[in-house]
Amino acid sequence: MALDETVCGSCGRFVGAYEKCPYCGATVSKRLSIKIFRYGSLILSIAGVLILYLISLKREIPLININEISPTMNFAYIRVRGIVVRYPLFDEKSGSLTIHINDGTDELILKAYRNVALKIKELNRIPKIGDIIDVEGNIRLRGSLKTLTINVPEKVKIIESPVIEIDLNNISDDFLNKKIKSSGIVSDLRFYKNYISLFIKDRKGKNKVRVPINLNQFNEKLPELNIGDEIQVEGLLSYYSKNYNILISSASNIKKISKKPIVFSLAIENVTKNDLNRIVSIKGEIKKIRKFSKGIELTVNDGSGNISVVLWNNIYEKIKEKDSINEGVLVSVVGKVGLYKNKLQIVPALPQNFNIVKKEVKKSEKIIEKKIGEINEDDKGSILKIEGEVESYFNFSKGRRLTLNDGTGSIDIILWNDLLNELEDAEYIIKGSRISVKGKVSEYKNKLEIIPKYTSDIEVKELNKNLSPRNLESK
Amino acid sequence: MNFLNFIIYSFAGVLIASIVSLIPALHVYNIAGLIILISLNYKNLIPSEYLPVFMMSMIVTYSFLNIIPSIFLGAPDDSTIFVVLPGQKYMLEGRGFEAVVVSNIGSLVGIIFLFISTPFLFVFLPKIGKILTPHMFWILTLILVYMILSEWPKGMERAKTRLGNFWDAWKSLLAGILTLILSGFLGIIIFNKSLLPLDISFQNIMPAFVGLFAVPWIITNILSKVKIPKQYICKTVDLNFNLIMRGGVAGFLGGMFAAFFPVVTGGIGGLLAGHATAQRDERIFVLSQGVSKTVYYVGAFLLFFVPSLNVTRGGLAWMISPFYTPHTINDYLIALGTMLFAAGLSFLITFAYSKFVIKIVEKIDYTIISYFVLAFIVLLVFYLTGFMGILIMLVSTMIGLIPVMFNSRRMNCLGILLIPIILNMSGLGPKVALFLGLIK
Amino acid sequence: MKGIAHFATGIAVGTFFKEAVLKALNDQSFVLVLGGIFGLLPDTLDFKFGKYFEKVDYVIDPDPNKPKPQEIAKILAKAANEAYKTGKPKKVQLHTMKISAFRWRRYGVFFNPKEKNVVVEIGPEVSTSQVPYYGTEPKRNKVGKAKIKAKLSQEVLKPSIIDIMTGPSFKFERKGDLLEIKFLPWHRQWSHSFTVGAILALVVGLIFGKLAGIISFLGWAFHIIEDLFGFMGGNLLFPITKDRTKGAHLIKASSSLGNFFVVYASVLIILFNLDRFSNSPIIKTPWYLYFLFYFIIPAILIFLIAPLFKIEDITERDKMAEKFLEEMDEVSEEFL
Repeated sequence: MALDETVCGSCGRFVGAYEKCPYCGATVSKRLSIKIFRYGSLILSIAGVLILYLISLKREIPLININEISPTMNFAYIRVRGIVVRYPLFDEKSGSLTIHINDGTDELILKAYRNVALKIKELNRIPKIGDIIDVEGNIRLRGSLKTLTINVPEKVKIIESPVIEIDLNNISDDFLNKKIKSSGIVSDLRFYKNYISLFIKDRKGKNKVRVPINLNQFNEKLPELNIGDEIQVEGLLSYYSKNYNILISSASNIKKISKKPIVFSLAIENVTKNDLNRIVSIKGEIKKIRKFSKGIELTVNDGSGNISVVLWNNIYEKIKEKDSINEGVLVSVVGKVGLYKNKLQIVPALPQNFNIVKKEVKKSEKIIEKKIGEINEDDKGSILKIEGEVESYFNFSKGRRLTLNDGTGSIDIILWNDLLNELEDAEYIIKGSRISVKGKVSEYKNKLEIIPKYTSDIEVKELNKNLSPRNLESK
Repeated sequence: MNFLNFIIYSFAGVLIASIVSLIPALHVYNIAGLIILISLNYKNLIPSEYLPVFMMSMIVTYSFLNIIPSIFLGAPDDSTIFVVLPGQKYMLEGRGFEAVVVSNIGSLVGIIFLFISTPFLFVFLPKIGKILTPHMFWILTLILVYMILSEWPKGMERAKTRLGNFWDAWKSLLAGILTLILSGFLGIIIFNKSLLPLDISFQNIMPAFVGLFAVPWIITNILSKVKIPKQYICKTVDLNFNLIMRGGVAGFLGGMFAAFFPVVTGGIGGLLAGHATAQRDERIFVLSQGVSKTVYYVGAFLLFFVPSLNVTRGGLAWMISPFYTPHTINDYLIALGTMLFAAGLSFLITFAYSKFVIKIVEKIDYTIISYFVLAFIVLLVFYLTGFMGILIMLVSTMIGLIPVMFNSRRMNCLGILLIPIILNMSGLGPKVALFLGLIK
Repeated sequence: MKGIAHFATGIAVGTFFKEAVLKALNDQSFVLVLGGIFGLLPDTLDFKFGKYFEKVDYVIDPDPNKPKPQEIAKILAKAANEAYKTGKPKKVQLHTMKISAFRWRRYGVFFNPKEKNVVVEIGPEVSTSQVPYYGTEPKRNKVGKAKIKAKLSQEVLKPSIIDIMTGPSFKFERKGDLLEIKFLPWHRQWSHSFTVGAILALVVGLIFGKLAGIISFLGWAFHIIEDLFGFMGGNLLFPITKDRTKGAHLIKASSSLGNFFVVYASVLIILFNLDRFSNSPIIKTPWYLYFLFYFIIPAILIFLIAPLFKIEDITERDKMAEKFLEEMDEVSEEFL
């Protein structure tokens, strides 16, 4: 019975756990089992902890694939190695560091806090995007979120990842999360407060790749870039928002290759709003010429489509062959793609960017100057140029009918609305004004008439300033 | 969420915990870990939306029922201990059932206080958390310091010399400090090196905890030669409203403190609250222990569901967090409802269970029960963690026996968590690990 | 005050230093821990060190199986008389009577100034929670008395009830023609002096810096100040002062409410200070409103309703002490 062990046999007093009576000093016998556990626990606990310590010294930290991390591994101390796939974020306020890595099997977030984060920064071991990082820490899983908490800054190792040189047209998912080097032409360049949106395409104008530049990520100065510049870019390939992206880690990852911007030759149908501000080169036939106060607008067609070419006066005046600018002339134009009233246009910046390729005009388009009285049935289909005074006019739903008289005879001139609307002097083309008209002779209700095609076909020679546009009559 | 399924999974949690609670030294966290492993393989076993219902029911029931084995199956041997605690004293006087009832009332009071404190949890606790979180490392250090400094010497002061008296008194204190150092060192090793297989890391600390707390308790039960006297099934208890309020407030403060602060367990919380409210009455002590225990276990888990708080406290919340994340106040309300439902059930079944256990211990030598439990625990540790887990458990058992054999506080074993966490929070962890060569 | 109250006060005092809070926040400094440590240190030094090195002249270790109250009284009286006669102080250590792991025999000692004697009464067996087991009082040989040949002077006219853990000691010292009786003579001497605190804080300051030294000293100092509100004061300027001062007798060290409010107030102060020195404070109310709403108003309410939650003292220690005093008064009335 326990009682015997707890009472001193000499003085009869309760001694409890004492092996020697504290009152009289007599020895109180205790069960061997208790003695064994008492002294054994002391010795074995110290020895046991030392043994475990020695075992732990021999243990390597396992390097595992991120996709092998399962919920039952919560709190495990492991080693991972992967490529940094997002810009590391160092939060000065909370003193934390966040790094996203991918080892080819899955993604993992690395976190370091306070002193550890500061020490990593101090040791200059914050990786750049695209770097390979080898790190140890405790895994922490919460729901689907996997993080690895870095506790030892010294265990963060950065390995420079190999760079793959590749053409833009060879970029594919096989290269995702790898560091690549490629070159392309700057096709789009927009500047925001701390961000530059940069797109590059290959020389054929295809295979668009975004190069997003967050100016907060680095302090170095970027090279000066313009649309059309050919650049070489090195960075991590990712895919986001339906585009491949090359994520650079420093300004030196962008190098300008061409000294001058590269011009893209395009078929007119391929010139779209995506090409705004781009320098393009087109070739086509002048279909229409419209003069306006500040310059001249040409409608050029290359067989695939029409586009406006705007020659400002300061450019037009310096074009050597400006007198040859006529309908039917084949021209080549290098200019910036712009948008005006929702219509694409190309605006050459220099006179030498506008060239006449072929001056010949088709026979069928030869212009004959005649008196009105000389015009007869044989002239049907020909392009004639006449001059006379507006005898009468009236507006109808589709345009305006003028009757022109040059003293030899009179003939009707039909100005359709699309022409009339573009005509600068339309309001003065009323009775009493003297105009010259170039147009095709056609017949309507057995009566010959001339129908001009372009606004440049009509020239107001003399205005009748006595009459106001309010005198316009309609039939 | 389907109401019928809610009831089913809640009942299931209550049932599992009822069985676990009766096995001395077995902790509900051990079983929770096992259930999680099983349900990973059998996804339909516990659908993720019902996992919190099941777990909450389990933890509530465990917090009520685990008083039973600690009263009836943990009788101290006078040859090994210096002072008998009130709960054990009740049992030795044949009033074990009364102690269970008093503790049970305390647990229920704890649940009610948790329910009432919901606005506080949502409004004040996030703010308190925001203020204290950046300072957690030194606050935990203070708790550790208080644990060391508040332990009183337990000598008889009958030595012939003054130095003899000093040594007699300091033996237990030094044993306590040694326990702290050894458990702390063990914790540093476990935190920095995965000694167990990686795929069971979420139970990294389990073999150590079993060794530090459960196995020494079983060993002392096996060694103990105390015969349990006949237990009286009382019809009334010596409690009144004032005592309940005093014990309730003290226990709630201690339990909530433990639930909120990381690493701090119910034992530490109870110690601090007991000192802070200077309670002397042993009825209040037993009642407040019941309150504190329930508030700690259940409160820690409940905090997991508070949307504005974002804390993970207590072993169960840590275990469930990789599989389930609460998002809205609805999740909190479901947890609260489960808590109340399970508490009502648990309160009622505790009485029946207690009578059942009394019958068993009166008929069967609980030393035999202890042997079976020891075998079960060893097998469980081996199944979950392998040979290395067994080794860790053995070493931890030796550490856990020191306070038992030398009359110091068992809570010094919590150095296994406190010391590595304090070191890591203060930034000294890596330096210590590097110094020890755990990290090269 | 209980240790935790001193501990909490020491921490709270440290948080008033912005530099300390910022050091903890930004540099992971442990300087605030020193406030708590030094808040507890005076009692730690006493109860874990000083107590064991006190030299005593007599030891009273009654046998719980055969307690002899007359023997106890005789030894106490002998020590007292010797001290008075020789002029040299005498110390007596009394031990508790342990019956089993959770049972003790209670006894009371009272130095009756009116009768100039010492009365010893053997009480019932008690549990470790100091709850008596009824019917265990000895039937015979319960009381012992012995004459003290001197006029008595005591810090507090209060019987000592000795039951669990360790027993008290007394010091008898002649002061003029009075015999001064000091309870726990080793307690609150050098350990509860501002001078010793300053020296220790200086050492800390030299090792860990000025701020650490200041916080350490304040933690220590506030412990002493809090103790001055109790019954036993402190030897405030040891070794310049030779003895303990008297306390203000305003609060009992074991008062539940008192301890609770000191801890609660300290926690509120800690939260307030940590917040106001943080990068983004969230407590927007000014300090006086903060303490009004969270401390003063709740304190008033609790003080008002506390009497409703009064519980009877089941240890009955005070009852035994009152009995000594009643008997003293009865006897004196008899003689009047």
